[in-house]
Amino acid sequence: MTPETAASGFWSDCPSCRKPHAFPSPEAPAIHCSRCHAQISFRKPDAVQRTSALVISGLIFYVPANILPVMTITITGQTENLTIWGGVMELYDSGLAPVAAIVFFASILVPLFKLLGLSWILLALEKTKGIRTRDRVYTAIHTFGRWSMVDVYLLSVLVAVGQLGILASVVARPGAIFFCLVLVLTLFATELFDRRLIWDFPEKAAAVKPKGQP
Amino acid sequence: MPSGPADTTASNPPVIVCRECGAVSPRLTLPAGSEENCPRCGHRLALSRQSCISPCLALAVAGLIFGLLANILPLLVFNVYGDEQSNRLFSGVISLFAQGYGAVAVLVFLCSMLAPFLRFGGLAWVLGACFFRQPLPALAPLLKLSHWAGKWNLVEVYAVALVVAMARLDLLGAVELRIGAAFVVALFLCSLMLDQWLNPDEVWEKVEDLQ
Repeated sequence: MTPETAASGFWSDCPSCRKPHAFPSPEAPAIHCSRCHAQISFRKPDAVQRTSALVISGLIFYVPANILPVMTITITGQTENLTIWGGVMELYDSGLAPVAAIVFFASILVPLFKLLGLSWILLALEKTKGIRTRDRVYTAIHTFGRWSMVDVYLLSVLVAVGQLGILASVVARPGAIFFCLVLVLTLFATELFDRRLIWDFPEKAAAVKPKGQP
Repeated sequence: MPSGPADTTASNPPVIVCRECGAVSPRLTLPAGSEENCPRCGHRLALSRQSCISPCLALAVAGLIFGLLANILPLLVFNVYGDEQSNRLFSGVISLFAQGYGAVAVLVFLCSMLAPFLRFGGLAWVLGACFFRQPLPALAPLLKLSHWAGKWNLVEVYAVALVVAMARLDLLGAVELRIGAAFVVALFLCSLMLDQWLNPDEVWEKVEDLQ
């Protein structure tokens, strides 16, 4: 078998160890990796349905995550309910613009970018234009997605040190649960999506389309 | 310049599948210092470079030690009118649990303690076996586990969150960094360099040979 004929077959790599395996057809059932025994499908199973479901749930929970307060801070009798946005504004008003920018990027921009970016990729799957842009958007989602965890860690640090009785207390609020839900849902949505689909559909459409038609 | 197709055996298939777009390319034998790129999307398929086993083993062992110290030592101390409280990695998890936010606590525990431990511990075990050529038990499952743990290892995000927490607490009272924070940063650097240098293909081939 020359490399050229081998390269024209249906190959897919193991999601865990990346060893390539040959499939008889793209619709062939899943097999087990000969090296690490992980399950391999030619494309991740039901990727579009699973990602869509997770993105839609994420969009729904994004609303309470931003409206409800994530924590209550009490310092020497003064109580303050903070939403995600409130936390950014407070840092900005205190003259800590760079820190405010980090929180704004990680907690507001990144989750929104993940949800809207994935929605766009899912809706535009059968478009032949903008493949490279969508691919870059997916790379960005994959790279920056983890940074939305900043606010959850921040909460865990503040809650840990905010146990000083009447002097200072920090209490978590339900907004934090919705924020975590959005975070986990988008992380799974990114993981369960198969980025090769961005390249598959337009190619299939080009193969089916008869010559001479626009 | 790439020079012709590589040796193909059952354990070394004749093709490379692009991780980015799924395009299939022939596997080439690469001269030292060169790389093979996907013809469709341009993503790097393979890179010929020195063995990653010994530097990555050093990083994994260092990461385990730094991780242990980061877990034991206090990270920062917060002081309001003489009353003070220190923060460790685990105290946030306990406080969140105590306040009834178990789900948030589990997420923090998973991403800042369990996943880094599994990532560094699993890799130290597997790379140690490769380095000393010992067919230790459970190599493939542990390498697989460390791959998935790497996705949930968010220790670099924790380091940034500590900076934000410092700024925020400074508005409320007096806050001071403690030595543990230095080990969180050291852990973050180990994690970053390990992701950069680890060549999973090479490690998997070594593991396959050992078994």
